[in-house]
Amino acid sequence: MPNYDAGHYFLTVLAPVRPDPELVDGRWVSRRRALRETLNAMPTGERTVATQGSAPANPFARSIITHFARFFVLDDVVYNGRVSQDSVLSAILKINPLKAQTVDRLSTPFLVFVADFDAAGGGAENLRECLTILWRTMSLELTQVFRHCIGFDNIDEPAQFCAYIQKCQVETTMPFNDYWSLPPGLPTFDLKPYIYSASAAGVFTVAGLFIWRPWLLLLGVLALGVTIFTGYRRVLEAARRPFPPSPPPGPGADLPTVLKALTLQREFTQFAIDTQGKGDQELYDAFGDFVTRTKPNDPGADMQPPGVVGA
Amino acid sequence: MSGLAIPGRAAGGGRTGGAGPRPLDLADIQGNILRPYGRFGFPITRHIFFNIASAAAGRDFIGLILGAVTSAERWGAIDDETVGPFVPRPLVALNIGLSYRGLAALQLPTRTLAGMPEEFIDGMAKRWSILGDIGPSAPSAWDPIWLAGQEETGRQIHILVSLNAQALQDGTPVPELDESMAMLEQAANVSAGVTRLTGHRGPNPDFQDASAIMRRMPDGTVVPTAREHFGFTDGIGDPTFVGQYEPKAEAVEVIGAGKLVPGNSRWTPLATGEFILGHPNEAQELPPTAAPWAFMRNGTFMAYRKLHQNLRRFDAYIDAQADFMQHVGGIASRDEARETLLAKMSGRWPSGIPLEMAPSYAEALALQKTWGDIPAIELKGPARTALETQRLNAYNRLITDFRYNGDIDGARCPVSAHIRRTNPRDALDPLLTTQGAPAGTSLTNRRRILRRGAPYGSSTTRDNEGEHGVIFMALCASLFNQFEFVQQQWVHYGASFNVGNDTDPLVGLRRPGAKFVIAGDTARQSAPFICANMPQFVETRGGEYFFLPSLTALRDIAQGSVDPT
Repeated sequence: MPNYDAGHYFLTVLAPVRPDPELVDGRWVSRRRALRETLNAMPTGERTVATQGSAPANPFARSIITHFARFFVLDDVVYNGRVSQDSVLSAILKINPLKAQTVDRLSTPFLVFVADFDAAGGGAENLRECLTILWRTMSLELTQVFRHCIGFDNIDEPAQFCAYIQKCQVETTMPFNDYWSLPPGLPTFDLKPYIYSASAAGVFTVAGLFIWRPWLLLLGVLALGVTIFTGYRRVLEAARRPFPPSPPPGPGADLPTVLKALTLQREFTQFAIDTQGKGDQELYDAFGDFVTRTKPNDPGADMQPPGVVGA
Repeated sequence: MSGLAIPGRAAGGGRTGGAGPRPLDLADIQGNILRPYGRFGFPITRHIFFNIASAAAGRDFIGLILGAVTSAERWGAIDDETVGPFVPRPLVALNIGLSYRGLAALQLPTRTLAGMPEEFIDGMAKRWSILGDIGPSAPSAWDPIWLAGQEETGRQIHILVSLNAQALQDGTPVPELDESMAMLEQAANVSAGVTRLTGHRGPNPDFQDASAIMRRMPDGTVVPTAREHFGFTDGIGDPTFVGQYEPKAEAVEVIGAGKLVPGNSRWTPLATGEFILGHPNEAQELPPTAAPWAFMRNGTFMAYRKLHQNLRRFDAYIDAQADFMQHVGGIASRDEARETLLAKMSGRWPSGIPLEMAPSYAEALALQKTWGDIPAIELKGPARTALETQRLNAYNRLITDFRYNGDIDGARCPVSAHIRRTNPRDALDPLLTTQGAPAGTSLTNRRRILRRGAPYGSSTTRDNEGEHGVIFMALCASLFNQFEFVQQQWVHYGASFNVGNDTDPLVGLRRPGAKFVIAGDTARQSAPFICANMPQFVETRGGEYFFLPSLTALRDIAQGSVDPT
């Protein structure tokens, strides 16, 4: 499940921000500041109805693979203060509350880049494919951002960009999918064999202990251990399995399909309004025209462009 | 202490002592918080706004009028109060609100000011994006008094004084209203530095009048009605909270107006802290307030809004859609189509009968016939007999005691109808089912507002340009959690109700192509109907957020003794 889920590759990148300032027009500028300035100036596209038709295009909209993308600067981890201690316990353990505790810090700010792409699989090659598309469509913007990060030097080829991103990639442990209108039919985890096996192991252990048969006790403990271990492995395995890419019986959830669905939803509402009160034949003909015009089965045709909010 | 008998009031407020929730200190709470004055015989309202040039003058002014402020004390039989001493019902009720800028002009301590809620500090004009005040509703298009208040320090709105007057038989206010006006004028003059602000659009720029729409009876007397300019009956679904009424009145008022506790179909009053500061709220917390707590206690916040109604636009749109709906739906008469359309938009038939109780025109007519004596009983006021009161209570129960669990898809009352949006009852419960124990209303219990308001202007000329609308007032402990949430999420958005970009069909913000969907009904084999290209019916013409302090807090202000240390 991590990184790849339901047909989407969930990328999480933490790139360390350079500690050295940048010389701009004879003045030294902190990278943190320069990076924020670059990010603030990156067009976000038509994100609201209010910016419809007036916002500069978002560079991610030059390709048709990105559902969501976000950059932000992680300055440091949050310091929660001292680890709290029960005063009675401290007195017994002789813990000196005046002695300073270690404070966890990040060694440098990090640029966080999270995005989800349409991908055929969760392998490194699938990610490389996505990143190559990004680089080919927006290398200028990506360079402007990543040049403030450690190690992003002399990168001008897709392969170099992919290698850099993969070096900074961390596992996405909580992907977010929002396209199911119906819950997918997933198998439930069958606990029964583990409960039976653990019960039997428990009986062996207890019996071995009471009638004192060391071999029985050992067998019981071993069986219990094996049951817990295999059960744990099964849970992890199940968690690693990606969700199906489309909610049955619905269509797929790649970006063109989603954008087409949004367009169709709007068009169909208008169709319903326009045909209110029409006779059967008229309605039949109008629906024929509607289907011909909107091509519901062709996601590429007449869909809402990416990076744009529809009404 | 255990040996001492504490004289006081039991649940609801009756002075019987004994167990029950701690009674409210009614003499400390402003009367407009507990009472919709209109329903207590005060059909006429006048709002006057003042600016404070110096803190000393402001303190003097408040000190001078403090004695005239109407508290929430019971008025004997009117409130079903049986144990005296009774406070007589005044002829004119007077209440005060202070804006954040007003509190700053009174030079309250910085710690007190800084502890105020952000939305109150911002003031209503600055919250335009949350409140949907754009286009014709934008603060730059408000009445001159509100416009000047945003631009000039000397004309900032600091104090609101609301006068609620009883009416004479001819429908005009009692002469005591003029006396109150004169008293205010004198207090402003004496304090030297408090100015009455002018610039209200309408017949008199010096104040904002609002009044119930009056009806002339056959005997020549003029009586107030509960209608507003579009023709709907207004002010039905107001919440009820602990301590608001005497026990006997509470038992009646709470029905359909309180909350439903999971597993229990009985309505119970909402927590006092949703509406009055210093009391536990529905989250079982004390509402956060500024220091000192004693200053905020028993006070609350109020959103005052002047909402203009475009009557010609409304009538024209309804007429056209009714014609179309009659044609599309094969409805027998034009009247039926028109009334049905209005009912579907509002959630209630213009008479006030909810769609949930009478989903069809025929059922509504039948109910109206059964309860044909109600309008007359309502108009009788306090003179009604015990039997009539009983019948009126039964009718009120009929129009308020309903839930949406039998109508999840909105076949009877559309999910986007005005009353279902602004008071969703159990409709937003994620586990809402038609069967089983009644679902709770916990998602909506923290989003309730007390509405206090009245129509202004006349609707005899049904145009767009004239002065007619509603002075809308919402009272709640948190303007952000309650008033602003309802306004933004429930009135101007559709996501909570799964209706996309659709807004409230009556008061919602309109974008080009705005629509309202009336769900079809499989049981009645009726097709859905879509009202398309809806124009803006209601526009904001001014408004501000006010703090309604307790009587103690007003005294503290007058004495300059607000001390947060």
